[in-house]
Amino acid sequence: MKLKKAFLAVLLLALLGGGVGTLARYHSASGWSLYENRALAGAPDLTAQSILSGSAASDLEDCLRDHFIGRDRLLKLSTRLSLLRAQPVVNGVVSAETALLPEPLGKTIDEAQLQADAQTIAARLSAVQNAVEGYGGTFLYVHVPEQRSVLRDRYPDWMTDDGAYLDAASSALLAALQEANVPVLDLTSELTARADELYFSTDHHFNLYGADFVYRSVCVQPGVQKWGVSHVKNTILDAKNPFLGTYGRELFGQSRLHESLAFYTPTIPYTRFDNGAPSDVPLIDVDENSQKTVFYAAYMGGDIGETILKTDRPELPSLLLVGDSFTNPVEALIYQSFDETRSLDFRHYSEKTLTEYLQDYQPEVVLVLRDDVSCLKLTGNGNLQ
Amino acid sequence: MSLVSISFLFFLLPAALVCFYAVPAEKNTLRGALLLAFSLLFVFLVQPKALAAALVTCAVCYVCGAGSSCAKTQAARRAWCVCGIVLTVGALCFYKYAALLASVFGVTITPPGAPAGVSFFTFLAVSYLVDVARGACAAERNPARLALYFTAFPKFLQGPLTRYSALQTALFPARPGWDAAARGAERICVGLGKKLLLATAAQGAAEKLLDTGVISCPAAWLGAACYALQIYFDFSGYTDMAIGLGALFGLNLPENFNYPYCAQSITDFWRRWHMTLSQWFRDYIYIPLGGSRRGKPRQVLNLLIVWALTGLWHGASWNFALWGLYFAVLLIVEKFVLAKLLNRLPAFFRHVYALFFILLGWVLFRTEDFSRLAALLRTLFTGAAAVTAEPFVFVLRQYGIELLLGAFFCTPLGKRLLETLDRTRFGRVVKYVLLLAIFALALLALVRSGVNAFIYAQF
Repeated sequence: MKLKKAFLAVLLLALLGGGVGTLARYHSASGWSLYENRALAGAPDLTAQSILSGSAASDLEDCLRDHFIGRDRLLKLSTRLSLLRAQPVVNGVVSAETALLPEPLGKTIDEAQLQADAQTIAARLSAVQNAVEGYGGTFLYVHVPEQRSVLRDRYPDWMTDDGAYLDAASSALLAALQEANVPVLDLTSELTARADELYFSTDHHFNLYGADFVYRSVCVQPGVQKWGVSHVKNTILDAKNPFLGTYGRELFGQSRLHESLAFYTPTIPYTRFDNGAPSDVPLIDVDENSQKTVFYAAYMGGDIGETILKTDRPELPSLLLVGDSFTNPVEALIYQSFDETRSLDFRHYSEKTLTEYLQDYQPEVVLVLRDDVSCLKLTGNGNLQ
Repeated sequence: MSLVSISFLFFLLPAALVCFYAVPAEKNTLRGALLLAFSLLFVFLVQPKALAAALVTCAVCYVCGAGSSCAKTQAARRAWCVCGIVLTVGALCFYKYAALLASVFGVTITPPGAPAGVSFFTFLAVSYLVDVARGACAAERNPARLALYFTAFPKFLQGPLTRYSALQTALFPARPGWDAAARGAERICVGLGKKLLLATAAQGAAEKLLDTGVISCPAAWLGAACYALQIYFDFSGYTDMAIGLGALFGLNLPENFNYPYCAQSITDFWRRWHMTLSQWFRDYIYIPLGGSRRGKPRQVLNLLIVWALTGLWHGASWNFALWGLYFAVLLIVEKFVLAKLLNRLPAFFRHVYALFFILLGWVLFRTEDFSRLAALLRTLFTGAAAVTAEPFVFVLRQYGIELLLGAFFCTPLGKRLLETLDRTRFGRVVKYVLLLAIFALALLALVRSGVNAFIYAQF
């Protein structure tokens, strides 16, 4: 009988503790999940409509789950148990010997669809090219592989990676761009050949060394060189701070693989504006003295709709860089070679279309930088108008 | 909200428990009223229109039940009963089957979505009305008790289907003793483990094998087996929680499963799977149609009708009707052709025979698209062109432990293990530690998961 009572008591205390603790935590917890890199669900909107439709109850459940007491610790424990079991995929991440990789998408190659999407993207980029060359500027599409593409041989032998699909997507796009006479800088083979050096092993991006390689490759393109642009050599160092990449984060920092975030110290002064407002966010936010964990968002402060870096050197041309998060470390370096560097991320920027932006600012050099996983997406930075 | 949601487990349930057990032992009415209040709140949070629909059904049953019990003639009693059935089943047909029926005539309509649990509380309504008309139970005079019968939160969404006569005396329940409460809590832990650990893993395995393009014959059979585990642990896990919650709140709910995958024939399977539904169809459809009393041709027709309705009860889609008729044919063949042969076979072969047809049945049940179904059936019997080991390696590495445990807990061995542990004090300590560990692991799964819908909740 005592055992039964103890069992019931433990269960009831766990249930009560979970409930009361969650309510208490809700008021003090931040609205952001560091490891999941997303906003936590807030309290539901309590309107007659939301209550009667049931959406309030559903939103309440999401909120309670996101703010459950000890949630991060519980998720870490759950991740640890899965890793100990050596499951092939934990939280969507494949833990290979020397890399963390995403679970393969498993997409089948639909040639007709790939061709159709490639033609659409090529048509859009061709229109942008015409707009740029219309006022005498230089346009260049820069194609880079994502980490899962260059490290595809790290997947377990028995697992089918996305390599074939990504190759087919890239081939379709590059062929369509060639057909449309869009200038392309395809860095796939060079970046792949030096994957270990130029890419993170626990994040889906290239590292600062990879970004520097892209920067240097762009600067030697004739269409860019003619503006008097040259690559500025920098001393790039590895920060001592712990680094959590995309996949390290998904594993709640439980992976045995560790690597560093590279940084350099910018010497060319600049004034920065984010989304139209002055900003003091550093180009690379690393403080080796603090030992704070750093993330890929240390580059440029993460994904921002519009960033402008002015260096007050009118003898140099201006640059517009369009793309997803792959542009972030590139921006932090390439601004050194331009008077004014603007970057747009159309996933977060909607004030003007690209055509309107080009009309207003007429940057001499326009780069669109896309990776092979996103290059055929028709939304966001694939929906350039 | 569902029985495996944070809002239920950590808020509504502990609040209900504290209030329920705080009421003095002799105040059953107050305890019943509290249980009703929490049940109404639960159903409202599941889906407000489900609460409205359940209460309207309750009101129809109350009025028609009262009318039936006051009627002076058998014809009048029957009329009240039929009136109530037409109203409640009519509503069910409108919500669930109007679109399907209209499609037969080439018409497309979009009725409003069915209220959650409508299939279950409509069947409760029919059993109540028929039992009152037959005199098997007295019409309930207290609308609150009737409302509790329909909306009691342990069983609202997925049963078990209960007879009013079985619950009538317990509806304003006495406070359970420690033994009953402990048994209930044990059952809840088991149910959580089945749903959040075993069913979820089996679902992942089934989806990996059956939903990812071209697969091999062995992968298709493994996928079918994984789906069989998924649906069993999903539904029996819910049932364990329902029975456990019922025990905590003084409601004695019937068992719904008896190790169905240990069956040695299809007839045996349906005596072990969703037993309360089978009993309902037997008592309220099959026997009133004449059962086996009007000759073999009529019995065959009755079986076809019952099983077509059983299939359609699960979903308004032709694959469910096909699934029901599939089992009807098997049951008829077993009854009239194979009975003697099956009795002569060794148990192992009867078991393999039963599992073969059970797995095929689940493939029919799962696949609504007929072209996909045809492709899957072709793969099951002839294999597909490209054969790779990848799905197996992935499924076994990712879910192997859960699948093995699942196979183990499909047999009575798990229950026997718990009973063995119960014989000594040390064994009981181990048992409770195991149950608490299951609860903890289920909590981990709950916190990391998204939606935790039960499969049978959609019916």
